Amino acid sequence: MSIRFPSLEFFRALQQRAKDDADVFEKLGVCDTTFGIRVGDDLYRIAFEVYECTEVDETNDPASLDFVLTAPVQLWKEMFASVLANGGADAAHTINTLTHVGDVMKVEYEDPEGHDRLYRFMATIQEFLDEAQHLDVELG
Amino acid sequence: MSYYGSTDYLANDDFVLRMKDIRKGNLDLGWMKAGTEQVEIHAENKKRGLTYLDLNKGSYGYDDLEEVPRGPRGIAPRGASYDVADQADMGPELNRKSDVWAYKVASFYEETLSRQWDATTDIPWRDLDKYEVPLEVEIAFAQLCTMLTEVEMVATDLPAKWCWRMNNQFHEVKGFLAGQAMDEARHAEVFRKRALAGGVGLMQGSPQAEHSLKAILDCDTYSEASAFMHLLAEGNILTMFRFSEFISPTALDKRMFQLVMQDEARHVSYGLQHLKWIVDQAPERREQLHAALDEAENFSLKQFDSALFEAMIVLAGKGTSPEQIKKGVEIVGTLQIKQVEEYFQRLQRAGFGERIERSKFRDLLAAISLKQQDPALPA
Repeated sequence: MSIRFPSLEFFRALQQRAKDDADVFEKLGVCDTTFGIRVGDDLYRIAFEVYECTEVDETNDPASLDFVLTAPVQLWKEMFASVLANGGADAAHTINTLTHVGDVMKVEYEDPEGHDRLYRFMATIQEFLDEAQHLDVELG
Repeated sequence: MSYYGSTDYLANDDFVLRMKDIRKGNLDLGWMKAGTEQVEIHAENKKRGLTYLDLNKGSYGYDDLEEVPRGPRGIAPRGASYDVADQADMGPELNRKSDVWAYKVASFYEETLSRQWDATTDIPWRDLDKYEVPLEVEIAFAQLCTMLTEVEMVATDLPAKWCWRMNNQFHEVKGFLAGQAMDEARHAEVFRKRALAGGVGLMQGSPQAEHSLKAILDCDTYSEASAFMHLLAEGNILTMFRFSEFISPTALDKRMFQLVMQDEARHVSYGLQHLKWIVDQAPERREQLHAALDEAENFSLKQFDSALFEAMIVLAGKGTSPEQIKKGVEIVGTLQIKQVEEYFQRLQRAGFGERIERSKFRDLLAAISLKQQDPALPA
């Protein structure tokens, strides 16, 4: 049965996939950050501790997050379509590429220390989103 | 050999007799009564394992370490018993905690070890042949890799230069720097491998960047070197790694830059936390750091030599046609604005925000016509 994107269920499915692929995340190393993914008006809270994605929930408190990746629904759909089609984000749809120039996807943060965590743990965060390749996703 | 022992032990009767006595089984066992502290230690998080943070207790910990840990100038580990009179004086030059310490340094050390990667096997080198990259773009990429290799070689030398000068009481910092030296050596390795694997090979050395790098290596104090390298130079390089991932012609290159980016961001975070520690614990050294950053910023202004600058424009525009160059110029301009803005944000976060008023970078962007007014100051 397919999982609708965007939805809390989708991000929880990513969390489960990350648990199923624990070896991959352990190889990448410890990751300690709580960040947000804003899809349109919805904000999802993703927490990583040690090697594991420990929490996925909805929130309306961006101040509690190290950073928030913010983009319109359509851009997230385009990014996950790339993940599904290519077995991971293609060159035009990695998180760094989308956030680097032109504010296509915005990185919102209050504390530059929190902002730097995006880069300290970039490979883990990218791997987490790339886990969507293993899901049956309905992008609408 | 320049350090000769004061005793020839083969000619020392007391020593030889004692060795013979021990071999007969006559042990003294006085060392078993060292009188050191016993503490209860266990991993706070079993998945994480036993970390330096878990050892932060009593005489073994770093929280109670004084600004000037008088006495130990040898290698007796923190918490061990020692007799100052008997110790070899290792001649540490950095004996004040504020000379080297950073908030969260034990965490940075643990993160360093956990997030190591292997340039030989973690980059999908075999995929390189799958991509067709225009020759001029590949040549520009090789020029970028050449300059980054130079940068990383100095970034390897710098922590190694200062590490042995630090008092061994600060072993968490020394461990972090040893890890950083390994990170930087791996970066030099991966960029060299990439330039050669792409078929173009290495391109021109960058003399302007080299002068800037020499200035980092020749800083008078460790804190000046850290402010220059960790905060300013590596901050700039972090932004450049982000840019490089953005313009990378292949997925393989994107992977490479994601991995080097992680290490670089960790080094920048350490630099921010060291500066913050100085601001909080040794504010009298602010002016010294300002003077160092005056010169550091001056050198940084010229780090973009024309070969590098042009290579980045070709990469950003994906070619050398007039339209591609126009697009490349716009994108590289964005990179330079980001470098300055993020540097200012980190200064602010470190409690060193007054630096922004004094920074040479305020005039830089207007001078090179990237922006008509100063970059926005952080709130």
